Amino acid sequence: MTNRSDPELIAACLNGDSGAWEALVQRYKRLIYSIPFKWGLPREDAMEIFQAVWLDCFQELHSLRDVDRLQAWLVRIAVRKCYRFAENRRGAPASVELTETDLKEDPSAGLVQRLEQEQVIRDGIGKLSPRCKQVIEALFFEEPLPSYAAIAARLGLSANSIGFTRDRCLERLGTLLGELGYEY
Amino acid sequence: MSVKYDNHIAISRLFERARTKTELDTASQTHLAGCDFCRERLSWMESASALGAKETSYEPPKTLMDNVLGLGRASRLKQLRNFIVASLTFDSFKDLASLPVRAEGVAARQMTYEAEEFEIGLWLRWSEDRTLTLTGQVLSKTGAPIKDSSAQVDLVIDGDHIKTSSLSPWGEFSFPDLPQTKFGLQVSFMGRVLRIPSILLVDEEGS
Repeated sequence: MTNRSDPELIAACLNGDSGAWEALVQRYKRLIYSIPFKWGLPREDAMEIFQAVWLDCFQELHSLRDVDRLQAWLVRIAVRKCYRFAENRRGAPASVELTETDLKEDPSAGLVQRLEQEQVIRDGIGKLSPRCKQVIEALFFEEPLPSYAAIAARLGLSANSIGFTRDRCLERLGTLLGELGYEY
Repeated sequence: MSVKYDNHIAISRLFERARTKTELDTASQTHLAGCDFCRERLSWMESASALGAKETSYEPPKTLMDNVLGLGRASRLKQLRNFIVASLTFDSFKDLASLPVRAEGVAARQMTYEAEEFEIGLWLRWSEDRTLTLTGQVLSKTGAPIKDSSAQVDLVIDGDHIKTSSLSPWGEFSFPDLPQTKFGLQVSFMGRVLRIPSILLVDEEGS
């Protein structure tokens, strides 16, 4: 994961640096792609919204140049598109994690805070060593939670040392999240 | 951050609490209630757990990523340098700015924007239900139409490109049923992008 800030990446994009564009997309891809699903929209809508958000971002890079709140801007655009897609489907989606109130009353409040927390966690995990990243992803993202013996076997560790490795990786991630400004 | 206790709850126990909902013992619960440090740890672990198995499903498919990354090809990024902001050179309502925008007998507003050797004419018409129809035409200043089959106009509200219209062979475009709001236009043609920022539309009641 690149350490360049969003404004630095935007400036690089405007100078024709395609690597900077890729870094921006990689940084926020899961954040943006997750929003339609949280809104209860089907996969085909999520794919359209994802593309549309990035197309808007591409076309607005000039006006975003001085903005250091790219993430919030991307979320706002994605949420609005979700709202329009849902309206076009004439009715509430079957499973909605985000309420209409989240969207109508203040898209910048609770919803954005939750999405920002998730994004900070992604950013933190992205800064871990490959081994810690593997441990953390197994601990939090696999269902059901794999046994420690299984995680140890994947990493080529003895079952005795996995507890130490787990704790060290959790500590490291906690430190990174603090540095990244995680707020609870 | 204030840390009230020296001996915090073991990170492994906080993890078990966040991930598997394993109850903490009474002493740990008491500690947690007064310890910001442990609560913050528990908070991020609960957030990470809530992402859970869904997180990997939030990885966009490769074909989708390829499309989006394709936007960032160096040749396309260089086109971003060709963004030109158009200037308003005529507004049929300009002299009536301090009066209601839609006066009796006036059902349309006409504006002209210019950028380099191009002109964009806009016509706004209010319907009875207070929605708007925006029509327009992009022409070179010589009056010649735009010869670009991929030319298009985007309607942009707060950075959100909400509608797109292709240009007819005569450079014409139309957006019906618009809400009364502030919007911009972005006209893409022949490797250029002309931007018309922030046209504020209000009706006769000024709403």
